[in-house]
Amino acid sequence: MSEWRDQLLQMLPGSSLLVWAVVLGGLGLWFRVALLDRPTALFSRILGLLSLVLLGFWLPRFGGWAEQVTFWLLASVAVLTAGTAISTRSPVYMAIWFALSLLATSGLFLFQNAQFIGFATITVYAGAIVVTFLFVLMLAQPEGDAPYDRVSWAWFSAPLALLAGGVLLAAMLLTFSPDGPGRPDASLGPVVPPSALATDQHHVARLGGELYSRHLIAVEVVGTVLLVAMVGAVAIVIQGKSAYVPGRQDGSRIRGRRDAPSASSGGAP
Amino acid sequence: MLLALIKIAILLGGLMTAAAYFVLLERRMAAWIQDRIGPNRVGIPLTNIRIFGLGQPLADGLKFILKEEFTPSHVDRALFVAAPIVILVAALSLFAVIPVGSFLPSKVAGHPLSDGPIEMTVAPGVDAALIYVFALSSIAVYGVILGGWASNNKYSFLGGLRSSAQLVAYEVPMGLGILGAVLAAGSLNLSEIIAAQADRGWFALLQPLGFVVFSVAAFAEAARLPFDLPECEQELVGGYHTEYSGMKLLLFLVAEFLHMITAAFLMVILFLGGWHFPGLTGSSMALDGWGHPGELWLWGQALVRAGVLLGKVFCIIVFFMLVRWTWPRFRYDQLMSLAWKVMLPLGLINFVVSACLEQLQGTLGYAWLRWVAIALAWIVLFGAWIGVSLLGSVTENRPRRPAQPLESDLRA
Amino acid sequence: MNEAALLVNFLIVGGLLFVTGMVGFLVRRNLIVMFLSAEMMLQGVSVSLIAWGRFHQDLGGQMLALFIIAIAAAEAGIALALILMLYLRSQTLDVAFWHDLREEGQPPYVDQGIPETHREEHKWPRLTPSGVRPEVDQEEQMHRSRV
Repeated sequence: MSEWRDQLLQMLPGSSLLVWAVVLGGLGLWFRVALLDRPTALFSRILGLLSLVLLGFWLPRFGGWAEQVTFWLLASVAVLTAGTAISTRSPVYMAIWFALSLLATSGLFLFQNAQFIGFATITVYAGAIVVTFLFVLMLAQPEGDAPYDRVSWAWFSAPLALLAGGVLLAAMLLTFSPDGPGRPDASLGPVVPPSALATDQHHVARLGGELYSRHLIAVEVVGTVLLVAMVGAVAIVIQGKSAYVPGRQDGSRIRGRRDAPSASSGGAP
Repeated sequence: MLLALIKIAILLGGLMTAAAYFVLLERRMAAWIQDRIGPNRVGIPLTNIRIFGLGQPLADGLKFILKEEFTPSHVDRALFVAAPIVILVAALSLFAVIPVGSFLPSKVAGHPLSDGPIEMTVAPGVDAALIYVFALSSIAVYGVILGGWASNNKYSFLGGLRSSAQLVAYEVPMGLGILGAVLAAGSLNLSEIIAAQADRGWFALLQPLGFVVFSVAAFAEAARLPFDLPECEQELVGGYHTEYSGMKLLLFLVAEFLHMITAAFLMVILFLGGWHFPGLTGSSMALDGWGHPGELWLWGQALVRAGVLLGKVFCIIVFFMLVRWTWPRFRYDQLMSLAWKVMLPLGLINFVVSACLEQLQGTLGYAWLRWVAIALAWIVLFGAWIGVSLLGSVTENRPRRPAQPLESDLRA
Repeated sequence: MNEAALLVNFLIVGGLLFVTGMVGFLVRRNLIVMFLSAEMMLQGVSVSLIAWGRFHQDLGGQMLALFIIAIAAAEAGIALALILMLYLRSQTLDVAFWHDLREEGQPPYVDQGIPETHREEHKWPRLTPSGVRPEVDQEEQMHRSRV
């Protein structure tokens, strides 16, 4: 396998492999995103997969086969579901693809031995935030099919957005390319011997200790922010008694047979 | 690797069989409570031998598999098929971190099985195991909400929304209830929590308010009575699983039973001591063969511990079933205000009190403080009980209309 | 494991997620989809943070990722409240409806070429009139796919 990689890298030098990957990925995404209504799905998916494969060739190797395959699986699921999320027509499907992307990202966190963050991401993000948005979507758009979901702003919006994204990504990728300034030296050995990171028996205890000693003020501030957000959300939604229009179904004003507006004025017959 | 696969196989087989036989147990218990006999005719298949109806789960499983699986034409196909899969996968994967015993010795008749003692957990050593449990409970909500929405049916949709709102609302008291236990144990790993209880006494004794809050939340998360309004037949036909039939419905029902089993396991492990029984099992986490180093004694202790844990889980499940068939159910708004207005403050009170008592015991360190702490915790429980009943935030929840004089044509 | 290479891999994945979220935010018009794309951006940043934390053997990366989760939850609550109020006023989740909030000197945005909803006609089942034997094509009945 590595000789294929070397051959490919010889055919297309490092940075142009990158350029191809970015351009193909961008094209694939553009077809999906700008033409939400057209059936270009297969073509754009092939382009996207091709670009990811090229990117996979370009990325440096960091470990044995098991680690590489796990990482590639998780990373490709994360990126592919994210790409599908922003280019799918129905917003409910978007939320579900996003939840899948969150699951893959949580897997990436677990890969880095960040157990608490990995599981907390699923619990809070995928399990609470996305579910709440699913509620609102299902109540606001029961058909799941609205005209403004199928078209973007103007004809140039999607290409411009992709250009901006591509420039950002290319800047980052070129930094890490073999002739770029930021590429970590392959001769740099592991910063910490791997065995020390293997199983962390007291991960959560260490996390808690660090959180409450070095970052205590931040924790308190975040708690206050959450409280303020809760109060704020309720304050924004509550409309007060003046805006409340009672209907017959809540039973708070039972109208009599005559339906007179002044029926409750002193009880005059 | 092989060991992990064997553990997974045993766990899956055991869980599926347990779920099936608990359905039979529930029907027999319901029958006993209602003064009739439950299913007792299906014994060994293809014969006439009845063994107390123990073949009934086989018949039920066969019925579900062979039933016509009808997918209505108006449903959202992808989500309709995905919803029961999601909820079953979440319900089964939850058992990866739950210990069903403490350790198995590493030698059988002199042959070494593995390097050290084998932990009776599929994935031992996960330090954030309890957060994993919460994460998968949150994923299970997806199955409910997707099943309700994909069915494209008013009643399913409403049932799915109500059910998922209930599940999400009760995740908060569940988290708060266990915070006290986690604080006392010092770790989120379930085996460590049992070891801490073996050391210090069961957490149901030390933190009764936390136990009550967690039990109520566990009942609601398993959507069992008295919290099963979203899926009871009188209210919303079948709730989110109205449109399902055949194998997909079986997956939903099995997932519901697995949630109940999970809730029972968590109650036992977090609050009722897990495999610890005072005097019967040892009180340190490692096996010590009750003081005898022989292999038979070690295996005996391992099996006794596993038996104690499973026996406790069985008793809790019997309690779940007794509650289901004897208590009335909450109305939906009572259910939600119970979560937010009663259980959440109680959980917070429990956490604050537990934290203070732990700190007190930690700094002062007298032995008799332990009994003072237990007494204080029980006083807080009774105080909270009296407070909640006096405040009446759940029962006084009806919409009130201001008193108005009657209109004239309604008089006389 | 080569820690530096691991770092590069994770940073690129985080960058891809961030860019995808950014493109989604700029391209889509549904309020909720825009918000979820913003959350995707936050997730990309979290991936980068965790990778940096591991590279420097500092738990600060995970701390900041934790704060990101908490702040995202708070932001989701308030965003949901705002979206709800906007929906109650406009009965639509389209952000282009609120073009009155545009800057001075900008022409209003006019939708051009919105494709119509071409939902296929739902074939409701026809009930046969009662008392009449239903007409059934015998050949089709013989070779039907589902019994």
